[in-house]
Amino acid sequence: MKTEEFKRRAIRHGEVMIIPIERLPGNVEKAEAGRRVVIGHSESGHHHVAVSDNVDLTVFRPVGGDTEELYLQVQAVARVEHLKPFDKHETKALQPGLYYVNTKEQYDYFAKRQAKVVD
Amino acid sequence: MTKIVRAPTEAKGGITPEEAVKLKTHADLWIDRIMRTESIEPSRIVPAVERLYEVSGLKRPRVVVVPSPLVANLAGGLSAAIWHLRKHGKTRAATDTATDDATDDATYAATDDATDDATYAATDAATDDATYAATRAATYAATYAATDDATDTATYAATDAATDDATDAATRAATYAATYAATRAATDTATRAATDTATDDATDDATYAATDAATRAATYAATRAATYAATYAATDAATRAATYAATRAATYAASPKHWLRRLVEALTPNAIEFSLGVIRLSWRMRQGGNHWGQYDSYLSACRDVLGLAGLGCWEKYAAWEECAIEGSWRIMHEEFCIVSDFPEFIRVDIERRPHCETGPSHRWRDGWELYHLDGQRLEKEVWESITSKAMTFGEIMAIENADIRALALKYNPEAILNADSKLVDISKRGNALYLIQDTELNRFLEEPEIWFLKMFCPTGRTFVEGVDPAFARKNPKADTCQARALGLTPSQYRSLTVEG
Repeated sequence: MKTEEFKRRAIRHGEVMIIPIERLPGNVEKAEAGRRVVIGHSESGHHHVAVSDNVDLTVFRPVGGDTEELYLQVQAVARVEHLKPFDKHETKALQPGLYYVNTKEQYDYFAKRQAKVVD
Repeated sequence: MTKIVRAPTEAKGGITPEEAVKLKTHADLWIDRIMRTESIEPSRIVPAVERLYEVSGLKRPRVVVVPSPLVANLAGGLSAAIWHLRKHGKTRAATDTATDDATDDATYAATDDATDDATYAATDAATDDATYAATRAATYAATYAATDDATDTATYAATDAATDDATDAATRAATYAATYAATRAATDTATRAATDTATDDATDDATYAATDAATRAATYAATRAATYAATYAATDAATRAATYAATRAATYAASPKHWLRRLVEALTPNAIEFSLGVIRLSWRMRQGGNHWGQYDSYLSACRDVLGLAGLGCWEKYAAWEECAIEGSWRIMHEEFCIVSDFPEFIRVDIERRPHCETGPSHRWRDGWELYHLDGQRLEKEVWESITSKAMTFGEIMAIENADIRALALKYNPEAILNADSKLVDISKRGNALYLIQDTELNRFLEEPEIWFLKMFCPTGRTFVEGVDPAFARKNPKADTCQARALGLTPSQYRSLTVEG
């Protein structure tokens, strides 16, 4: 993907990284569709949510995979919101296109492994 | 400009400047009601609840006032279970259907449909988009922003957590007790028999040997040593076990964590798990009273400020509104309504988030407390650690939740310096890569190198996150480590401009 296109569409929303991609990988299947879909789960309910006013958003996940890995199809300009009443990440516009949604990782020195950042 | 229309059943064209001023006053009135800390008055809330049931077409309930939402939830759940068992017997007690019936969210739906929802539908129909949006922004949104952090969200989460804690503890106790009871007979008897035999054999043998030896040697010392040692060996374990068992039983019985289970056992001895399940689901019968007042701020503004007094919904709505003014959280059941008192105090910060650095942010008159810092709900032990301002960097890094870790870092800013961390790299974006070597923390974690990133978040907070030592050693650049954590290449990270 060209740098300008990446720059225009990529969004970091707290620990959630929304990365534009040109096409979906072959091993994914449709998991969910709707006007509001959670793209970053929070244990305390402060989810990161993609919201579209008029057209459904579609979530894809790897076939048979039990992972948080997620791909998102956006057909009309949507937005990503943070469901938190304080210390809230700003709402950002989500341009039409395909995305890979990744949750940030950190190294857990107590568990001796890479782990997703949780909040 | 759109013409502003006002009639008893119609409000269109937005809001006037005069109405905007009145709406602000109206929102402030509801903010005061939502943040109320004066005691509940049973003489006012009881008839209000009775009216709410009446306008919803339900029979008059027993109305009970309790000191906190926690008590309302627990008592409401247990009462619903008892009512269900009385009406249906215990044969269905173990089924989910019975649990659903017992929680009786139908009562909630009936009262809500008849009053609050109906009023919303009526006011929505009577206003156009511009008037609706402006009124809602000036009332609901304004009230919500000023109170929700401190009341609705906090109380909801805390009640859930408290209920879960109580039922989890009780469930654990229940499963432990059941497992213990089921296995004790099998294991205890067998163990006792084996121990008895072994003890008998050992005692007999030892006594015989000792007596024999004593007789033969005729020495007092040998007899004493042999008998004492044998007796000690044979009895010490048993005594210790008995003491342990007695202590455990006494501790179990005295433990405050199991009071709910003991209560459930006493009141529904044949349906303990069922009752605990109903208590866990009691949130389904819950209405927020004054802590849901943001919505009432909007609805009543349509009547009192926009003048939509001619709609047919207000008579029924008045009962709902009165309950929102005179009471706090309540549990709705066809036979009873349990209403909580208002909190004794609510402490907030300048942004009106629940917050207190010197004690609980909320307390009800029965002593139930909640702890918050910067709007973040914390268990009391965690709150105490953070506000001690004596946390070590290791303790902070051990916190799993990133928001709470950030909070701990904020209140313990010296932790990083005290950890003898060395700044390795800092980028223009504010990412800083640190390394800790040859400290107690390294020895504790058995890691010769501890690398971490310190970064600023657009929300204004500072976060610290661990970095894989193998990666950091090869790539000791803060932005490179940050890029990898986000799943980006370094060049993608350099191109990233939208960060929220």
